[in-house]
Amino acid sequence: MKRAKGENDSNSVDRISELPKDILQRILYFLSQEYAVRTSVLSKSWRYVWRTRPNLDFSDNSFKGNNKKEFLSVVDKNLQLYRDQNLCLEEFHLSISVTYSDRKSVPFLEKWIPLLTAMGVKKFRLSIQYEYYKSAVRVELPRVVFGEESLQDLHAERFVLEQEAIERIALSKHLKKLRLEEVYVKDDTLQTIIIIYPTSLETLEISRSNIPFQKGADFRNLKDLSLCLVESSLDNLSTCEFPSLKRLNLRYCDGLKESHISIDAPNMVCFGYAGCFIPSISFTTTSNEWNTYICLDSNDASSNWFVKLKALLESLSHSNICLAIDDNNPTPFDEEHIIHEILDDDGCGEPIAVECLQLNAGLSCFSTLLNGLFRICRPASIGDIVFKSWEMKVAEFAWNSLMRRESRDRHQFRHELWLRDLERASLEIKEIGREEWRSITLSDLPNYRPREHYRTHFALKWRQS
Amino acid sequence: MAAETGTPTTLTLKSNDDELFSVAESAAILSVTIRNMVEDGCAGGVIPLDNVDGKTLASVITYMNGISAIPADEEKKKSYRDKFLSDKDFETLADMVLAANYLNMSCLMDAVSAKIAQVMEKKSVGWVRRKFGIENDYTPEEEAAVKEEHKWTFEGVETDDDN
Repeated sequence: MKRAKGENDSNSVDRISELPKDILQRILYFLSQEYAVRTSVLSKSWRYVWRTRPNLDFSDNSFKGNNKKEFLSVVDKNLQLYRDQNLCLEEFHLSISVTYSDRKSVPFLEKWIPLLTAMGVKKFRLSIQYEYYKSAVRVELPRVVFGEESLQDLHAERFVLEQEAIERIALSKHLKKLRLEEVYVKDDTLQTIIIIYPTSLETLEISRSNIPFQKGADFRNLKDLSLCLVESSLDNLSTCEFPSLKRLNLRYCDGLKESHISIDAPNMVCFGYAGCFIPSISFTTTSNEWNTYICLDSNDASSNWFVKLKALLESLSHSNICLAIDDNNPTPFDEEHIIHEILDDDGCGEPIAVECLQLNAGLSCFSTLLNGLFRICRPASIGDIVFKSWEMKVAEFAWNSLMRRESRDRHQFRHELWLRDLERASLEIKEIGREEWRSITLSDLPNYRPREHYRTHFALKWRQS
Repeated sequence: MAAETGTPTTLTLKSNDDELFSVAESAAILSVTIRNMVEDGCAGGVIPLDNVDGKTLASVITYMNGISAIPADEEKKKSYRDKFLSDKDFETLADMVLAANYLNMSCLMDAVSAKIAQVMEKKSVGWVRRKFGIENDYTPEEEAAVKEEHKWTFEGVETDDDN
């Protein structure tokens, strides 16, 4: 490629003010509201340029003015300005928190929101939070928030909703992202709440809410679904269609208890589960390469814990499984009980291949847990869940358990059948941020300090059965 | 497209100072302006770009080649753009944004605009004037009046640094 001749060398000529209006408008688009407005002070030619930017973006959190009243008035004036002067407004972003004492914000919302579609706004993003800590009284989310056609992104936190409000959500035909936290629907009428989510939804995050799923809902564009601390039944998930779903995250949802869920999601990339109990969940997916992350608090180690875990791993066995078990159970597993439980069931069935196993367990129940787990799964590596790097005495204990080639006695052998299948175990370490693992011996381990800078695991090679 | 119309897969672009550049058609059609010419069958000979000088065009072509070599991965493309623009001074950025506008390359236009905005963000009015050579033609009274009108944006302090 030819080199160009040097010209237009840098000088102090004011080039930015000379740029065409549509370019200046684009530059202003990327500024925060406050710095876009401030350009009016630069020079006379800049006085009104900021108004040509097609977006308004207000957040009371970063608002530099004096108080909420001033914030509301600034937003109001700007919206009025754009409307009165017929200025082009394509995007409107508002982030606002409401306290019990300043419910004045609500009438403002009721005034502003209906204006937006009429003004030609295409992307309306709203984040609205109730500042709970200042008052124990729950506040109702204004109905007008739902149903605005231009609404593209809605995040609402700590509100109570009327049924009719949430039912209006179907009117927001362009809604792509919906995040509801601690939003409760008043269900005092005891009628079934019917929510029809718009099919435009791409991301749905619900936490600490009692918002149910409609039977047979059509989530044709949904890519991310995340549910956290949802108490209401999730049975209807089995009847919904998720043709685009890539990531599903379920955390501490009591709504999953006592039921089996089957997710129809052909394009899964990642499934995450965290909870105190083992869910019964399966996927209909044609995806070949997908990952699952299961994180279990085993403090609720009920009977059949291992049998349920085996069933879960079996139903996820087409994915690359990473299993983390945080055993903070004060009463450790009873080994005899486990063995019987697994033997009584189909404990002799094929163990499931697992990518990695991470454990946090006291030494007193470490080997019991390991014996139980190795009966149902064959991890390619085993690491520590908390520090991602073994503490010396746990590492030593694991080393001794894994490196032992022979069982000590017959009784032990019955518990440690897996030893026959373990071809090789090696302790490996890597620096955080590096890719490659290298093999070390146990006595090398204390030389790698500080511990937080390293990851250690045991790589396990199993005999093919 | 090349096979159907017999268009060569390499295009020759000419800057307004008569520099000639060869560029793969697949990279050049990132510019909607050039793509339209190709589609209309006007790209057979030399394509004159009357609003872009050689120095800027060389830079734009580097960008075209770089970004089109990256597969459909928005994050990688973004980090390429960030790196590509990281060492450019404002003069160069101004030339690039004008070229991107003329060539109708929205991804480059947005990246450069965002970069310029990033320079202006969180800076005092005085700093922005000095940086971009903007002459303040307000009288002190007029300036005070404009500031008063948007008082809320002048609360607090800003930290000017040259980054």
